[in-house]
Amino acid sequence: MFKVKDITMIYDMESDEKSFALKGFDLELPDKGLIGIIGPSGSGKSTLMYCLSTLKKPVEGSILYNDRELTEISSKEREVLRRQEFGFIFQKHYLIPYMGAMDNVMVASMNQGFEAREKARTFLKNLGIKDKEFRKKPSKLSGGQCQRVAIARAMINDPKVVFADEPTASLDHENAYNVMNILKEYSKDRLVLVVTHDRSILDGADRIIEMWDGEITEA
Amino acid sequence: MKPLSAIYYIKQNKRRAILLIIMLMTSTFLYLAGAYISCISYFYDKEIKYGNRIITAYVQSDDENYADFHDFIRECEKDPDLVLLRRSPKGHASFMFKTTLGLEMTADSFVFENKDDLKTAFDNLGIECDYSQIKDHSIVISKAFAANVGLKLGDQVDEKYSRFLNGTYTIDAIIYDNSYNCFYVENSGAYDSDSAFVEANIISKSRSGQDFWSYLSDKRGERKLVIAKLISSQVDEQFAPFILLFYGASLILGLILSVVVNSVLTEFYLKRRFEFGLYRAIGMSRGRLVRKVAAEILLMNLIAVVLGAGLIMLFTFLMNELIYLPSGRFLPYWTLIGLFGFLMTDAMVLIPTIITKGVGMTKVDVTEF
Repeated sequence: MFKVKDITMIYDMESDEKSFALKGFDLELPDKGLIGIIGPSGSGKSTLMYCLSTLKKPVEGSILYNDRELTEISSKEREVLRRQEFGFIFQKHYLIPYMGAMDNVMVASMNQGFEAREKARTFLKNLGIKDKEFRKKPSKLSGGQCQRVAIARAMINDPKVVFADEPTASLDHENAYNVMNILKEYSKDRLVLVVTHDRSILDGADRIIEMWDGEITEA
Repeated sequence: MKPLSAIYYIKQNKRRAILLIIMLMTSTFLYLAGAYISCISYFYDKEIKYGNRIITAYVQSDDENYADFHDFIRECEKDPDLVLLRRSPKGHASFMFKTTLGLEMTADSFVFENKDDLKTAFDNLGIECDYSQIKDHSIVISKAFAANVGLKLGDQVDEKYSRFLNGTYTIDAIIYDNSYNCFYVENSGAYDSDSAFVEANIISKSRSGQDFWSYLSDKRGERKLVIAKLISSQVDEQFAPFILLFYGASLILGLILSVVVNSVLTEFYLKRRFEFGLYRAIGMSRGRLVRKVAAEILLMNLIAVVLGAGLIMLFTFLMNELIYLPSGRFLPYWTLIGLFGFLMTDAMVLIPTIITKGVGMTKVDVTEF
């Protein structure tokens, strides 16, 4: 699904002290499975994910997604890709604080009709969110519940790829385990990329990519 | 309710929305300021209307060229469209009245030599009047004017009331046309001889305004006499500075309000940076986000305008009923100046705010967080 060639990302380009977040490496990713990207802080794992998901554009190199060159598509095409084919789960759930759980999921949905709401309802229930919690705002939900709502939001459009950046960082062990189980289940016929610095959550991963200082050390 | 809609945002963030709505209402109150400015012209509305139909012609006091004047009068008398009425040379100023803003102003008076001339003029102007008490040294004023200056039917006025009066006059009729002019009947003694006009009030049956004035000017030709300027042009000259001042004030207020609203909104939207970063991450287009910001701001502005307009109408109604109308004054409900002032200020607030906030929020990068 993804073919990365010689990908390079530099921060502070104008400055004398440039920072090489990605130092020019190749990588191939399949179209399904749970792939973990692991490394210490500053290793470039989040930057790699941002480049793959079109949130950032690498300075050099190419990223082919289903034979489509992501570094050359327009801003509009990137938006469409993120809306229709990618899903995002962030470290701090990033739920909108004034919206209830259901509305936080619906905000990402491409359709806003009755069927979309029913689909969101099903997702939330499958993730263990009860009916009475649908209208609760994030401040009234637990950390685990918030992250599960974020997962539902990421998956509402049936994306082909889910990018999860430290999805369990702010969760306790039990909730972290539950979240990883959900992602593992989803990865049976989709690609799920999990970026983390915690190896213990990647026990069920199909593949683990280790990064260090902007380079892949083991894949 | 769709979670991305402006109504949803306002419903879920009532406190912030209320604060902004109150701020946006400020520009609506400019409409009220415009109403106060333009209400000055309310007092001159009938004077302009009558002045467009009655034009005075006379010989200047230091010019003894009455031959030209009488020649002109004879020509006018032959014109079937024109009605000539003797104007008493003992012209008097109208009483000072108080405008809605509390300014003391005066308007022109109309002076007629006798009751018949007054009646002819009123018939041509469409003013109904009870002439039973009209005599020499009568004054006719409107009910509104009477209430404004504290006079009533039968009251007598003299030099003590107004220094412009030379003798004692009586309020012998009240009319209901909301004019703020005095209509004098004064036998000057200058018309004992039938032959001579000293000054003339000329009424056209079909013309008015600039068309009428130009018609009389053409008729005058090279003859040495004065065709008095239209009252409307005099009024426009007097009030142009007020109107310019109002627009200038609107511009300044618009700038100040724009800066204040922008600062408050900057803070509001700074707190929503990650929300908009998230929207970009999940594939919402820049155009969609700009429209969302615009819809939120415009909806709050619409609520502010509706509330502000409601308050203004209520205020105007209460002030008119309780204070202004009983004292012969008036604050208009509808004014073009007020509307223009408000629109100008509102545009100065909204346009830069929507552009800066809308475009600004599309540049948020979720990877910053």
